[in-house]
Amino acid sequence: MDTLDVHIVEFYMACPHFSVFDATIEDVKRIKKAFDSRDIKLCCTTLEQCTYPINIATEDDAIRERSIAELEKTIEFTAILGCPYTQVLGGRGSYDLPEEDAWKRSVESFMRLAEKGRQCGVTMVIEEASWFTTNTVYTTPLTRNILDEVNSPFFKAMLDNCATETAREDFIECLKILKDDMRHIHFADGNPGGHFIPGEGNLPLSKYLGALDECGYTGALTFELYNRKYELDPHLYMTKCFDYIRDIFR
Amino acid sequence: MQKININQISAMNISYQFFSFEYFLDSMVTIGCKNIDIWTGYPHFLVDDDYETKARKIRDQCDSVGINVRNITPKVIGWPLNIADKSEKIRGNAIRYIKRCIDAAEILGAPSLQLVPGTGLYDEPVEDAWKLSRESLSILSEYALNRKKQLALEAIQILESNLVGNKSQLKKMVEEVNSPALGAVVDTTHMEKNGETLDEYFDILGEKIKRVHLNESNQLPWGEGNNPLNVYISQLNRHKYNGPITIEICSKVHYLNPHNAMKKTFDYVIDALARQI
Repeated sequence: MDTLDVHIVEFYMACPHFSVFDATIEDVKRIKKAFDSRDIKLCCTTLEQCTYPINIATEDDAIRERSIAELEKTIEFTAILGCPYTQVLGGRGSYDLPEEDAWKRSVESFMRLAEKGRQCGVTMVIEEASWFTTNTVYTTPLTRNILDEVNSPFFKAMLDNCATETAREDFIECLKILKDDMRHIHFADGNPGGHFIPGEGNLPLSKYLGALDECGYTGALTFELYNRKYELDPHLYMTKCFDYIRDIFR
Repeated sequence: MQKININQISAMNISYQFFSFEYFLDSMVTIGCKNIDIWTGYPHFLVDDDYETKARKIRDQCDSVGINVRNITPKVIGWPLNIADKSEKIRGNAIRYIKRCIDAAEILGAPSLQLVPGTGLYDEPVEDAWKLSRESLSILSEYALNRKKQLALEAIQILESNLVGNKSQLKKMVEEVNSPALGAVVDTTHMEKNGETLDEYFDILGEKIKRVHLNESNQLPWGEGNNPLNVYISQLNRHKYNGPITIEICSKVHYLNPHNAMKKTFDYVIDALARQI
């Protein structure tokens, strides 16, 4: 990030960089120092909730409680890091059991977490994920529904343009559905999924940027290269993302 | 002439992770698969503090439908459980977790466990992480030896580990640990990706091979990729392999309909076994 002269990052909380399960407040302070010394601010924290056994909507009470506890810890850490937002997913029930029950558990969990958010001054932003990740919040209308049901200033939403395209949604329509509740963006190229670097997919990236401008979005936009093909040379591919965006600003 | 027997074959629950464990067992019964390899992932079996209660429940469920747990595959990849991590805390967690899996295997009646090598950070020296992995594997082998459990290490792909990714590295690690409790797994998906053959694995690892993951390319259901199952079966027979075999499907699109995908795989394997000469 130093080399790229980038001073806003979204902090993905997962091993080996940072394990919320194991971290202490001292660990968080150490990380904050590392960011501060490079003049880096955090726009959002993102606890790994896809591959880790974290699921706020599961029918297993013990796992659900532990998941809520992990997210509460994440919210506390996010506050210490001076970061306004933390990303959350809706969780899932077993796919052979009723979806409505998973939804109810998800709403209940978020209500509890919103209280934690209020205490710490951290706002959750919920991201719709694909059907391969969740059977609760997997479209923008569902995002709207859960925002309305939880109904808290500490529970807002974000959009991932690859996720909306994968769900066959129109990005501009999604912005209209979420309005001011849309607080954060994950940005990538795709076919329509894939989370590629700009140019490797076929999504209308400049159209999205135009739409964000149009609705007066002033929040952060994260290049989320959520694709293993980039993991063996992450710096190179992140450089390409910033070359793309700097070119647009020029 | 030896032939591979259907009783050598276990199916893994990893592709049923969007469904309940009960659904998985029902599916096994319907398919007619008697042996299972339990991947200890969420939501089926998190090996937490209460693992003994959970393991007993799973054992009862399996017993009641006549299914045998033949192997345990501790879920570590993608979780903060890395036996080669430079953080003593993370490494310690991983070792403790796998030891618990060894104890769970005893409750479940499983004679063996499959392990992966862990990984180092890709911008740091491989040798340092290699030493940590070897040290952890030695500790675990000692633990398993005392409990009469067989461990088998798998070579995995470069996006999961920078330590053990091919037959030579696998042989090197197994030899360096040098414990009767630690053998090797060969997975035909990873093997093909490396351009290696079963013959080569048997030539260099021989009787150290304690398990075969008999998988289609990209760990798809059998018949949907291009790996040559008949060739594998004849090579296993030629090397007189009569040990355990696991079939795995690790392809996310198939996780939404795991029963059909596993039925297809199991039927395909049965068909190939019927045609072995």
